[in-house]
Amino acid sequence: MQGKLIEYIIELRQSANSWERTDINGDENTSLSARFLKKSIFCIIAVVFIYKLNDGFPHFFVDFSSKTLAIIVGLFMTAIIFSFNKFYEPISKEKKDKADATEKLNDTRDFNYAKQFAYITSYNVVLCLFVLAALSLNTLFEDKMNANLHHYDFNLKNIDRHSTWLFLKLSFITLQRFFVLYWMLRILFSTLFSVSSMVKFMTTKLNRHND
Amino acid sequence: MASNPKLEFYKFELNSTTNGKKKTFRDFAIEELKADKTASNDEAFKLCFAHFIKTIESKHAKSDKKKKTITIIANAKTNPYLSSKPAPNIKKHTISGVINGGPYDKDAIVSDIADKENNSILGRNKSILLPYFVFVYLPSDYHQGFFAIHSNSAAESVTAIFRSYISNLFSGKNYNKAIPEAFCPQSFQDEFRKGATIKNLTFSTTIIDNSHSTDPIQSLLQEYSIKIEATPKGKGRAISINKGQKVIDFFEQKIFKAKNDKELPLNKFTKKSLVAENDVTKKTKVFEWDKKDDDFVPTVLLTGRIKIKDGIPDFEELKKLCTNVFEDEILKELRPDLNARKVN
Repeated sequence: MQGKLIEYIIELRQSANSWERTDINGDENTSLSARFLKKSIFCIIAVVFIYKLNDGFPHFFVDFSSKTLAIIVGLFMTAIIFSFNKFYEPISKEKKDKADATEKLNDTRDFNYAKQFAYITSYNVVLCLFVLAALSLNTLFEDKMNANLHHYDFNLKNIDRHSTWLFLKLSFITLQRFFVLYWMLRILFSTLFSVSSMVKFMTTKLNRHND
Repeated sequence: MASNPKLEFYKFELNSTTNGKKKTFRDFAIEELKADKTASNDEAFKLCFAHFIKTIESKHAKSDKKKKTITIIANAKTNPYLSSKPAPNIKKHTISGVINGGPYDKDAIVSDIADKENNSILGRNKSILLPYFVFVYLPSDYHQGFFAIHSNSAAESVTAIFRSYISNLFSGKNYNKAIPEAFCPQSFQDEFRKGATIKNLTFSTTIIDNSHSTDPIQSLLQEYSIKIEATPKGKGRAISINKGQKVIDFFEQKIFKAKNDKELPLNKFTKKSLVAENDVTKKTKVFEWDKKDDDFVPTVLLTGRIKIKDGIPDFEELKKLCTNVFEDEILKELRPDLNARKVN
């Protein structure tokens, strides 16, 4: 199961990343900007915030974020389950033989959107769970996780077991803060995308039936 | 006139008299050809093909105005291209093959070259038929069709009559005549553009002079057209067509002074046209810069693309060429909906 779990999560991550760059016509934007621009901006923002956060995440931030993310997980899990069979209904072979270009195009777009929504939203839920797991460390080891990184500096002359252990601990704390911030930015982005694209998709589908 | 076979491309849209959703060729088959409402796209195409071939197979489709006919001569002894007559590809909804066409109502004489005395009058009710290759696309699931037709020269051509044949074919009780529009696949445009240079540029407009004058000439010229032509001079001064917009911009800043007090810059002229010449093929083409923008219709000559014997193209090779151009390029341009694909 563990092996499969890692495989599923890796596949989900790859597909979600790919679908973020793919439109509903199935065209993937493989340009460097499409691949790295958003991630680079989020990285820069996350690094700036780490620098500004002297004593780590404030207690109320952990509290507020955990509640918000828990709500997002609940909402999106429901949305993923309900979107199954709602966003895409395959046309029968008989209908397909008579379908015109618009019907075929709509079928392709519905199919692609259903997959895009499922992958991006599911990965969003996974990221929420990762952030919740990372933030739980702040509640478990509040003092250690709130270490002020500005109070430490590198001294390459006196490297011993204690300093190495301290370096590893502080690196872990830095990475924890980085990923919490970076993933939260991604969650914000994906949530905005999921909600706005879902509304657009629904209104387009309603208008289609109204034509 | 020297024979120099070329290929022309046209697209046309079904012109339904009812507003709203655009009608597909399947709709046309149901409404005009009495197809069953449950007919599949392939069955609808078969009916469209039968509709296409019916007239030219049974008789001559003629144009009294153009004095030309098109038909299919079903006699293998007189028509060596009968085996290549238009045939459908049901899956792809295309028709390709050789039709016969040519002029009639001429005072033509049929004479034996070896024996001049052996001659007879052709008769005005007889048509002189040559083989012409056609490639037609009638998609049952779409509202726009396409055809390509070959011609040998301006005189040896049935393009005009084939155009009106298609136009009339897809008209009926609920459909106005379809209007075929010439176009050229992007690769041929690029190919022309590659070796094309600007031969000249023309700006034209009509000027209305409202001032009162006692000058008899000026009173006669209250309204006149003016045409300004710019031609690059001297060898080695050839300007590539790719710089067309920059050249236009340069000249548009020039000013024509209609009267002492009235200046008219060339960018206010109503028509701007550009004549380009391909240095390799020596073919020229006029472009209406305003209308066509970056899209134009150069002539696609078949020389060098396929085998041509005695001025007649190898129709098998021409079919391959048309099929390749159609599948690789035209279909993508004509049917943007087919560019969408399901991602697995």
